Amino acid sequence: MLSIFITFFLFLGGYVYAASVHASKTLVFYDERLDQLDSFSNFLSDLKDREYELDYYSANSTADIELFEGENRLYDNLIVLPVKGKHINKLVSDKTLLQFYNDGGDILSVTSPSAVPDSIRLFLNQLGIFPSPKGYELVDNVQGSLKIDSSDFRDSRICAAKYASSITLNGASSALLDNREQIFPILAAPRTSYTKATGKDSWSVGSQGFLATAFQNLKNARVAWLGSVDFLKDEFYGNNGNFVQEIAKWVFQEKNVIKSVDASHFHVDGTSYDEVPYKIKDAVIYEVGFSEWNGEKWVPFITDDVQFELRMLDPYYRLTLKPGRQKDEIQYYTTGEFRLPDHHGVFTFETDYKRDGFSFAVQRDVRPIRNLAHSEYARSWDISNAAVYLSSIFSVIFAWVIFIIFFITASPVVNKPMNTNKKNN
Amino acid sequence: MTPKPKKITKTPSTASSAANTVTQDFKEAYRLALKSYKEQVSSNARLKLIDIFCAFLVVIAGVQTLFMTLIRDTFPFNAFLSGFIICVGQFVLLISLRLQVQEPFEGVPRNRAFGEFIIASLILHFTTLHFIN
Repeated sequence: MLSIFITFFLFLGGYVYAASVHASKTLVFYDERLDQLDSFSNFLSDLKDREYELDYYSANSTADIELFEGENRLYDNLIVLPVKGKHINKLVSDKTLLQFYNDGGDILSVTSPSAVPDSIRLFLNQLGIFPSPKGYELVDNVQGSLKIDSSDFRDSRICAAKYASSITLNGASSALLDNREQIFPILAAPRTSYTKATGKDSWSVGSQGFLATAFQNLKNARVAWLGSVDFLKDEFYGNNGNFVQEIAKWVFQEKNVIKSVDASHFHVDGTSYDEVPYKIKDAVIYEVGFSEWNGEKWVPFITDDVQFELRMLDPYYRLTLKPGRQKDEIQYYTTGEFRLPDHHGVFTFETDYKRDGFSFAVQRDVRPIRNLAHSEYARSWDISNAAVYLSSIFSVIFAWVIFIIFFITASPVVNKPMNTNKKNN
Repeated sequence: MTPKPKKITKTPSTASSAANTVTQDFKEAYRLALKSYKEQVSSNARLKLIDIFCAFLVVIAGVQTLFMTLIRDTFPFNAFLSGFIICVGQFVLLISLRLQVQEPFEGVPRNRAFGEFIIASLILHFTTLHFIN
C-alpha cells in the first residue's frame, strides 16, 4: 500500500514539476564574502519547488569545480551570482563558459556594481552584452532613486509587462547592447539615469543602458543577464519575485520553448518528391508542424506569423502559412496549393521562424527543380495564337493543290507571237 | 546613246519641266509595262493562275505579319516562321516556274520544269509542317 502511494506521488511529482524541457541540474556560483545564500532563499526555494537540483559553490572556497568531465557537461544550468576577486577567472574562464554555453547549457548571470568578474564580462562581451565594469553604478539624480517605469520595459514575450512595474532596486549596473538579433532586451535603464564612476566618463546615459537582457544562440541555448543582485534578494522578493522567476523560467527552458517538426512538401495529388521529382510550374503544397513546451508536455503551438520561403539565393516565394490540421501535440501550418516558379535550379524549401523570446525553429530542405524536357513544352496546336499561323500554312497547301489541278487542266497555250513580241521588246 | 544628247539639250530649261518629263517618261513606261503584262497574261491562262497564287501568298504573309505586330508577341515563333516561310518559299518556286512556263530554259522542257516544281513544293510543305513545333 505504502509503495503504491510512493509511486503515485513520485509519478505526480515527476509529471507536474518536470518544468524544464531538459534536465535541471543546476550549479549556483556565489560569494560568501558578498552575500550569504540565505539572502536568496526565496528565489532558490522557488527553483527547488520546480524540481531543480541545486549544487552550490562559493567562490572563496578552495575546492576545485569542474563544469565538464571530459567532453560531458556536468550541469544543465548555471547561475552566477555576483562574485568578487580574480580567483573565479582561473576557476571558470570565459572560454569554459563559452564552451558550456555552446554545448547547450543555460546561464543566468547576475552582476552588481562592486562585483563584475572578468571572465563573466568577457563571456558576455562575446555575446554582444557589455556590462559596465567594476565600480560603475547606475544613479538617478532626477528621481532621487532608481524607479523602474513600465515604459522601460522592452519585451513582453519573455516576461509579462505587469511584473515589471513593481521592480525595486537599490543599486544596479547597466549594460550596453549590440544590435544583433539574438539579443532580446528586457528592461532598459530609466530615462533620467546614468552610469557613474569616480573619475571616469559615464558608461551609459538614460535608456541607452539596460538593466536586464536575454540572449539566445542558434542552438537555442539561453543566457540572461541581470544588472542587480537586488532582483534575487529576499528583501525585495515581494516586488521582484514574479519578474525574476519569469526570467528564470525563460532562461532555463521552461517557457517559450517551441520546435518545428515534420516539414514536408509534396505534389497537390499527394505524391512525394521521391516518387515524382518537381519540375518548373508544378503545383505543390508545403506544410510544417509546430509544438510548444508548456512546462509539462508538448502542446500545439498556435500562431499566425509562420512564413515559408522558397529560395535560390533570393526568395522566389514568401508565403504566410495558414493553420491546418492538428495532430496530438503538433499544429500543422500549410501553404495551400502554390505553383513552383518558372525557373529551374536548386531551391531551398525553408521555414525560418525566429521570434524574439522564442526558440529559433528552422527547417530547410534543398531540392532541385528540373526544367521541362523537350517533349513537355506546349505544342503549337495547344497555343491559341498559333491558330493564325497554322491556318495560313494549311490554306497555302490547300491552295497549292487547287493550283496544281487548275494548272494541269488549263489549256497549255504555246504563245509564239507573244514570245517573239517580248524578244523584240 | 540617244537619251544623252536629249538631256543635255533639256538642262537649260526649268527644273519643273524636267521633273514633268521624268513623270511623263515614268507614266509611259508604266503604261507600256502594264499593257505588255496584260497581253502576256491574257494569252496564257497558266501565267494568270501563277500570278493569282502569288498574290494570294503575299496576302497570307501580310496577314500573319500584321497579326504578329498587332498582338505584339512573337510567342509561337516557330509557327510564325513556318507560316511565313511557306509563303516565301512557295512564291520563289512559283516565280521560277513562271519563268520556265513563259520561256523554257535550254534543255529543260516545260513538263520537266513542272515536275520539278511539284517535287520542290512537296519538300517545302514537308519541311514547313515539321517546323511548326
